Amino acid sequence: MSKAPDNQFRWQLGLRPVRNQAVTIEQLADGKSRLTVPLAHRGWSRLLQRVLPLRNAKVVELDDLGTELLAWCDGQTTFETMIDRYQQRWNLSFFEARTLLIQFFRPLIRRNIIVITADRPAEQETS
Amino acid sequence: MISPATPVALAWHHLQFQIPATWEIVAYKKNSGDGQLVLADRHGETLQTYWRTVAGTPKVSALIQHLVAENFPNRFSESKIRARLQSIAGWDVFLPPTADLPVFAGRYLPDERALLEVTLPPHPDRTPALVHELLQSYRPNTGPVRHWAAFGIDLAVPADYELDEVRPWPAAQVLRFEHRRGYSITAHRYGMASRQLANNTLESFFARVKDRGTRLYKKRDFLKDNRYPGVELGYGTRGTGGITALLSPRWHGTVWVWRCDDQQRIYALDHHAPPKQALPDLIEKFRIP
Repeated sequence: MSKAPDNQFRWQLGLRPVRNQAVTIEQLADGKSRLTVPLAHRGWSRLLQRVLPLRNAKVVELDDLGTELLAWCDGQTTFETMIDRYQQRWNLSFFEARTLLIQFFRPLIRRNIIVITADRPAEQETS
Repeated sequence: MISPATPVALAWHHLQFQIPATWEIVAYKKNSGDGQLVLADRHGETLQTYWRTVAGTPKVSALIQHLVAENFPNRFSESKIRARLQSIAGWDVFLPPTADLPVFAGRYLPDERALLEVTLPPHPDRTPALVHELLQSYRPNTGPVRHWAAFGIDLAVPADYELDEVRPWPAAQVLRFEHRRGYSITAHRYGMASRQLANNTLESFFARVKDRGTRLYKKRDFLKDNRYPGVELGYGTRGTGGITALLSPRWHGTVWVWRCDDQQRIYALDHHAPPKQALPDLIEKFRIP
């Protein structure tokens, strides 16, 4: 009966995914794209880089759907708006679209291709 | 209020309701003796239902009273709770004085010896009219044929087929029912049909869904509800492997697969049973929402 999960859920819908500006996007045939994420070596990894051929970038390929979704990550469009668009586009239910988008974003966030921005909660602003 | 243009069926163990189309199942239990369903929309939880088999006939109003007192120990006196208890279409209902409190309702199902409880949490769209409409829409789910409507699948299944498996994945939902002798009915619903069928026919699409070892053959084309193009497929099995593959009688599988382009959905119904136990009119029992 607690309100906390609902608040968290609403907060999640207001998040705004944004593309990492350091990522270069190369458009491929059939609407696909290739993303190159530069890697910053620090600490031991930086020393090892001098003797071992460590890669300086990782490459991720997206299909046409993923490319379209990535274009929505402009830092202005909220997660809820993306869900609505995806829901309409494919005639899905709200939770279907939400789950599919979360599944898409999760690995991209882990690879630092997408960063999530959020409004500061009102209570923190006032304190 | 539940808009008359949009209500959809919700049918599970012990219950049938008409609910707004935006309400979706977010948690479920398969157990018919003790389980729950939780529904939500984008604004939060909308409905929680709980059921459990009970010994003897419970006094439902007393149970609801106890439930309210436990959840809000210092808010309502016993007399205040009693004053707010109502009877709506056979339900004992606690209607709270303010919208920030949940509605509790319960009823005893004597045929199934089950107690059914419903909670409507605080929600921006919850109105007294909606509560009334929802509770009035309740129908028991008993008898020789049971109604199952969940995750966009709406199907009537003989009572001796029990709910065996639920896969509520996004754009790929499956409900499987199994008879105690192993006969099965499996209902599938997939989304993004134009993408799924861009390089596939309905036959090849379902062949990918089905086990790799199953040899499907096409029986005929058909129109579901005289509207949606589909194909009827067949397959056969004998035993469960090993020596049973030689000694067991042959069972037939029939699969109806059809596409609903206006919904971007592909539906499939797979029925596997010995020839004498087959349900040839099963496809008529599948309703497209």
